[in-house]
Amino acid sequence: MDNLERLDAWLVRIIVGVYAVLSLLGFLAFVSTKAVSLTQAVAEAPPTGLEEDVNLALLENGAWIEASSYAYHYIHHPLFVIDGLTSPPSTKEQWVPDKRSDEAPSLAVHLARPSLIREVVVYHDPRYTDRSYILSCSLGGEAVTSVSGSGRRDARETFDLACESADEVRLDFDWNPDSSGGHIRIYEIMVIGR
Amino acid sequence: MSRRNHIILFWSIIAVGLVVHVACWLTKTGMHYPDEIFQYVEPAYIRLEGYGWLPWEFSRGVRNWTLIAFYGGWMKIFLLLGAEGAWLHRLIGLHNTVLALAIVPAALRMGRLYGGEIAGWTAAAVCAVLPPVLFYSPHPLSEVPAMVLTTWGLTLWLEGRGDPAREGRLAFIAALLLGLSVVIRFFSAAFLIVPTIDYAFRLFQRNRAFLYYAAGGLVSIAVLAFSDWVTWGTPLHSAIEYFRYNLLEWGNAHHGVSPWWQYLDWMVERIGWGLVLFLPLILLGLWRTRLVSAIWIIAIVGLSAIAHKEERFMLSCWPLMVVTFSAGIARLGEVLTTAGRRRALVAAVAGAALVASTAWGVSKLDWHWYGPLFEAQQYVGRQPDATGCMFSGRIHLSGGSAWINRNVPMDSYQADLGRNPLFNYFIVKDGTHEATRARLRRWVEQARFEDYVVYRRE
Repeated sequence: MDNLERLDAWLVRIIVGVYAVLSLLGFLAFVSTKAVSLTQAVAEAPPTGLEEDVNLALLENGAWIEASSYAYHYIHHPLFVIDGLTSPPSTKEQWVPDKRSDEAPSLAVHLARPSLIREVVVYHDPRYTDRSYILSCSLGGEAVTSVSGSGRRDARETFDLACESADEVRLDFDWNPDSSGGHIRIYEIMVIGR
Repeated sequence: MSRRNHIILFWSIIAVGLVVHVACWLTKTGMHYPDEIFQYVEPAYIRLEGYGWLPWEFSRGVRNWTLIAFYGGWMKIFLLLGAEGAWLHRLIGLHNTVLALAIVPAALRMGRLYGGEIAGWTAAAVCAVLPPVLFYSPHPLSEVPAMVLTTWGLTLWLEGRGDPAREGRLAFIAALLLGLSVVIRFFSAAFLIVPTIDYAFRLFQRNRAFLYYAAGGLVSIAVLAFSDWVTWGTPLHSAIEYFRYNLLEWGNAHHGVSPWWQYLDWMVERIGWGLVLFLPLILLGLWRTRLVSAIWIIAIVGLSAIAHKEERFMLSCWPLMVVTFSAGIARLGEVLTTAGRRRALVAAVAGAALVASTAWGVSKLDWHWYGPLFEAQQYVGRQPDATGCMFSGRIHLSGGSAWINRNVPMDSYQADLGRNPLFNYFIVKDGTHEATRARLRRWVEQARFEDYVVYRRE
């Protein structure tokens, strides 16, 4: 009889206590998490020893994306920058970071294999003018070469990068999302090399 | 009843309730309402996995992140345990349906206050297998935790009224629980009206419980203010925007308007033939449980006054109505017989009849809403070559990103956007114009989930 009462009391305490502790730990783990947007490679890397330069930043060439965020409501998904369409029919097919939650937007195109990169071309939505970014190529996470955005309003920006061997091209933006110029909208990134 | 029998009966009711709740969770597929995904699971999923779709509420800041963070915490635990994708949505549903059993001890204690052991155990047993709760609780809706917090908050308030020695402490906890129910579901404020008036009234009788009640309420407000300050940049942003949108701009009228009697109509539909029993017993228990009854009546009147109506909004009213009903049963037993066993028999028959008739009413609801679409999304997400997915219907009428569990653009079907090579999988519903288009373009059928067909563009 006494044992049953004790068991009852302990059972309630254990259920409530374990639930409260797990809820708190889960909550703390959740608020300390902020995942980036990682996509998957869906194709093989292009063969080595290519005789001509190709666009390595394509899904069909095994590229994949790591973006700090995207405009979730309008589905301006980062994969649109490697779909091969430099001026797509709709303005949806561009990458736009999330204005509300992203303080330091970044977009990295990961190549399927270390490659020689000669040129990077960035296609912006010409309606928007923000070009405050640093473009870099890196190998194994270590930056090899960096250049700044041109500051001009051209829709098509070309960067002659001399990266002997790189597996990532990355854009790090410096923006004030609430300013009139605080609009980052990119249709496509081409990474020319072999 | 001896203490030993009390313990055995209580855990038996919980065990039976648990089995029935889990069985209902297992047999339910799809969703009850898009909010369960896009207001709670999807925002949490975006933070955990980095992709998803957010509705307009998150542009304006009408929602607060408190419940999202709570669900997100459990999703994080499930992720660490190896669950992923659709399981995160499903397991939050399981969490909720198990959590809903917490109303059982609250109903037991509240029932006892108004009709002794008979009313207490009737309320507890009915609440353990109450069909509307079985239907709604396997979903990550805000109504489920709000119902638990409301029921417990009101129970502690009522117990405190009869226990001057503990009233201050109970008033504080009651206000905290009721306040948190408002934080996660703003309409729960309707359930605070009667307790607040009661405490305020007794302040004039030099009862200090109101001060404890106010302190508990302030803690809840502080939780909301802090949550909004961290996420939206302004304390109480979501509450202000919610009030502005729904009441000042009357935006609630943009989302499913029903006539004022809609909630009564739903109650009649759900209770069905049991109304013959339910209504007289409710009337019999009404005066005895006048404080509790006033709360659920005010809530239903309040809900009826709002243009936008949904049956799930009245979930918190059900346990309270069961308490009134159980007090009516206890009263009937007192009139009919003096024998305790006969009174228990009357209560068991009446309670079982209510559960049976309500189960019949609830069985008419859709238990698999959009379930086949969710399965089709899951199928697409498993395809190693999937780079984009379009589907028939609107974006919020899908399972969201957890169900596809793959970071690719996913959108409702649009012919122009469909030309983008990324979109190589299409979930098309039979009979739609995109089904005709799929046949004309000779897309290849990959799988079928009832009337949804998965096509791949070659």
